[in-house]
Amino acid sequence: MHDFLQDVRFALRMLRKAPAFTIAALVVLALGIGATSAIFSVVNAVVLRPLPYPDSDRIVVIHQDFRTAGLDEMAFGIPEYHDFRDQNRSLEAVAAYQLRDKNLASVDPPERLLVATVSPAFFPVLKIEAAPGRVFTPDEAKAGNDRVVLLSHALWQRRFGGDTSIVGRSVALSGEPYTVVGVLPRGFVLPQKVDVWVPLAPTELESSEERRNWRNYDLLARLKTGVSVEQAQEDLTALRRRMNEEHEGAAPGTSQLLVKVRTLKDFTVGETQTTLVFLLGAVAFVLLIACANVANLLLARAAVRQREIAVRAALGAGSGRIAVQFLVESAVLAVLGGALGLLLALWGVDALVAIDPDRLPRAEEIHLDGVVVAFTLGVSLVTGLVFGVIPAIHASRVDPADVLKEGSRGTAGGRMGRFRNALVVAQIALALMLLAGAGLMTRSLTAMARMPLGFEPEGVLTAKLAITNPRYKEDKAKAAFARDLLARVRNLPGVAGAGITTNLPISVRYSQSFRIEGKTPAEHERWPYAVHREITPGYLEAMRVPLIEGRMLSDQDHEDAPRAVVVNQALVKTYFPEGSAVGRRIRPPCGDDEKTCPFRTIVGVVGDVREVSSEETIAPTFYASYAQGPWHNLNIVIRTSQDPLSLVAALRSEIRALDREQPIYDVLPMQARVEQRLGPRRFALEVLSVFAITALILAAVGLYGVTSYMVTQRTREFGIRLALGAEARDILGMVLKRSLVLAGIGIGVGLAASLALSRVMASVIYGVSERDPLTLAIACPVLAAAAMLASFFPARRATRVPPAIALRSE
Amino acid sequence: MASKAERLIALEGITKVFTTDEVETHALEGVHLTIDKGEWISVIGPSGSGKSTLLAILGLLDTPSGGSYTLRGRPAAGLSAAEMSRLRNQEIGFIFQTFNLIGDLSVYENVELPLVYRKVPPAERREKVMKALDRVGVAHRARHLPGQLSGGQQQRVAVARAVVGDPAILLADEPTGNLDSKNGQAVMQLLHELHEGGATIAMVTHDVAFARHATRTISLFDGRIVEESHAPGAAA
Ligand SMILES: Nc1ncnc2c1ncn2[C@@H]1O[C@H](COP(=O)(O)OP(=O)(O)OP(=O)(O)O)[C@@H](O)[C@H]1O
Ligand SMILES: [Mg+2]
Repeated sequence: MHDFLQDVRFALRMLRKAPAFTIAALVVLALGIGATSAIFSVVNAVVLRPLPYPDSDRIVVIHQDFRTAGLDEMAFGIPEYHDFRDQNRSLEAVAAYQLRDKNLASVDPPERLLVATVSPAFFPVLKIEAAPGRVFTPDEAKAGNDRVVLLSHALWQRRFGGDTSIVGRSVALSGEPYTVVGVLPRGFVLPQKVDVWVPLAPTELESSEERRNWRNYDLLARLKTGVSVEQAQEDLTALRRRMNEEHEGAAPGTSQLLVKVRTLKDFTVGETQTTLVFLLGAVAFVLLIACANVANLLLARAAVRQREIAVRAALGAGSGRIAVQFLVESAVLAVLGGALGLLLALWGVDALVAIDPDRLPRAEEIHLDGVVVAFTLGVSLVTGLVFGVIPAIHASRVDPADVLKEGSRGTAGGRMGRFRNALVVAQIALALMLLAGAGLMTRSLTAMARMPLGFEPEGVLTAKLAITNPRYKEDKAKAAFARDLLARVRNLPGVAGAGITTNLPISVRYSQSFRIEGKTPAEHERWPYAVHREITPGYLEAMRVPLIEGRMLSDQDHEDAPRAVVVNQALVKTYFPEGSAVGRRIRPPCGDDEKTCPFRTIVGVVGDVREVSSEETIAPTFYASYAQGPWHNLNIVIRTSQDPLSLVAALRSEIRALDREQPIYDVLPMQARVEQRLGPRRFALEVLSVFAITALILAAVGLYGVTSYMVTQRTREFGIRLALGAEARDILGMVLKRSLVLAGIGIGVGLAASLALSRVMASVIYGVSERDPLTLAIACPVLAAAAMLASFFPARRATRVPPAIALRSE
Repeated sequence: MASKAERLIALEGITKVFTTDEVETHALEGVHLTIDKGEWISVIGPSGSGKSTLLAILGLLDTPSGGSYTLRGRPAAGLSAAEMSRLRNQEIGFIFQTFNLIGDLSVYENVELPLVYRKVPPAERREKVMKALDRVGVAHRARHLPGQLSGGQQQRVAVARAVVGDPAILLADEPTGNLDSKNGQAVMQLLHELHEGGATIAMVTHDVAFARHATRTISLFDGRIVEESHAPGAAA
């Protein structure tokens, strides 16, 4: 122990004695460790740390998997929910929930709220309590008792000033009074960014067998103690199979339904996990480069300190003792670097979260905590061991007799030189891999951005409204609202066109099975499936979706007119391969009664619109007339020749004039939505680019350091060569060639490793081959150029060695 | 007799001033010296008297601060760095106190180096290198690294490297300084043989005994030539 403290003290003294070395090493270490800690903070909060609910690993989300129809996250009908709730053998409690929009109008300005309709079991499943107040009682799940509401902590603070007397008071949601029964804990927003919760009280009709396939609810459940996700999956799948048999024929085409059980965490974190784990891997490369860099600096110092080491050895220090002393020095260095890295991570975490806070799940939970600090300390110590072990071994092998001999410094090559070279090669190889990765991602994003969308987002303003007030209960009222709003908007100066859709492209989409007149699918044949949305006249025109055949929807397709739809080319190609679709009729799965569920005539065919950024093929889609099937979720799109945002104020005042209690939200230019869809990939790219540039700089600095050190070590040799008649360019060439060889080997190793790891890349890129030759062809010369630049200055120094140095004894 | 000989080098009023940390050191002050072909000049003097500096200037390793240097009738002032390199390579062979072999190159490669810089074709290089190694008696060690040789052997390799390109003059700075007396004797014997064979030599030495091999001895003190003596044989 005493020895150890003495070693630490000595280490600190040595670091103070060589400030240039110490600063260089600390900067490199802080960069490597800081980046690692920052990424780890995010991974820890998002992926590793359990959700903040008791026994959260037992909370699962259940969906139906209708793979044959390309749907893997289908919801449940109320009768299905009841079957699963009552007949399962693996779940302790099951709750159903649905997200809805409602408008809070009792305060000014009116605000659109995201509402979760949840069965009372929802909170016991999560083991969440309300304070002040209470969560829902089972009794409140009965129609008539259900006008109660729970507020999110944020809404309570924002709109009600955190007043505890709110419990028991009444608030108006979309024009209807609800009694507040409680406030949920700070940060609780499940299922996603929810403002208020109301009890799910299914109507008799909703619970009836007739509505078995009206699938509107997702399920949240708590596993019984000791039951694994896989066991629950098995249990529920068996149950689903039994139900398929029981209800065969009742719902044609859905007899292949399966069940998908995931932990709530997997469901919440989703794809982000892949990205984050990928980035954690990438940052490990940066850390390794930093290690190699510092190891090289230490080796250089060990060489300078040969005499000290030899004297220690001559005084009787065993080789183990000397190695330990060097390791202690490395560890001290690493811990100091780690402390600096932690400061850097503090800032880095904020920067990471700031890139895309909306799309990063659990972003509000991300911060440096004890786990991160412990991780950083661990990483620092391991780092110290990794970069310290080679110099330590080297130091322990110094032969005292060797060093005390005069003039034996000439043998600059040897074992240590090879280590140093290998370290540089490793740095270059790692940097190439990161560069190639960032390059591939850039190319992938460009490819995605270039994919034709099928519409023109520039010059389009979009905004959302939910017309949930009882005054819009009737379809006619909804249709009238839409018509009036559009009439007002079209009269605004600078507006070239406007329309309304129930769903924008590049957002959630709803699919529906349908039936083609004159075609009956065989029992096990897949039913036709299509994405559908309701639109007003002018929507497709405002988006500049081209008409291919027939006509667009127009005012003639009003509520009393025959049902009309427009379809996209993909639908024609898939379901009418024999020829024209115009004039053919389709019917949604609402029954066989032509009175209540009439066939819809295809009146026109329009161009395909890309719905999801990464989709290779475009889904069949039909657009129905909004007036013939209105819905409370509206998206207004306005085409203008001006800056779209310049219309926002006018749009707001038109809506106010129409209904002063009606809020709009999510006002964005369409172009911004298009860019958002690249969100998670852009996040990964931005972080990876920072890593790649850091890696490039570290590798270049590493090569500079090695070359510089080599030139210093071999000053005399260059003097001798000059004395023997070498010219400056011989020396320059010699040094540069050596660097180029190192860089070349590094690039070669890096290329091979990149190709070996291309499978990993494939998981995060799209639209470009993970072995894209162009990217690699660019990454290599970039690195080679950096290597040349890094060694040019030391090389030039070598040419300026005075040849007379050869005459001097050392 | 001296007047008939071919004039190789002429130094006139050579001065050399080093400035470090604002301290001026006058390493040489007004040195006049001529060297004829076939001469063996020995330079002696106390430490710091400017012997090495003189040798560096003779060998075009350094440029004087003042005075003129003529090599085979051509003034060296105003030569480009590349021309100086070429002259060093062709006209001058160096032997150093600390041998100055390059540790990473084999004995053979060390000796070959001046010919490489002169761009001599490989076959001819090989012949010349083996001849030079033969002459100093270390041909059997051609593949070894310098570190595997004794001091005496290393200095013999250095001599081979100095003579391999048939330079006009051999410059040696204390060639025996790092050797024991037996090895020192052997190297002196080697230089003696080379001189007999017609080589011109300028050698710095501390050892008055070795200075006796020379045809002429120059004594430096504080950067000036304070005495010049001809060996009995040569003076006649
Ligand atoms: N590059 C240099 N910069 C500054 N001063 C120098 C330099 N080279 C030599 N000197 C100084 O010039 C003077 C002559 O040095 P020089 O090396 O020629 O002496 P020397 O006679 O060879 O000595 P020694 O017998 O110790 O080798 C000394 O005072 C020395 O300190
Ligand atoms: Mg000297």
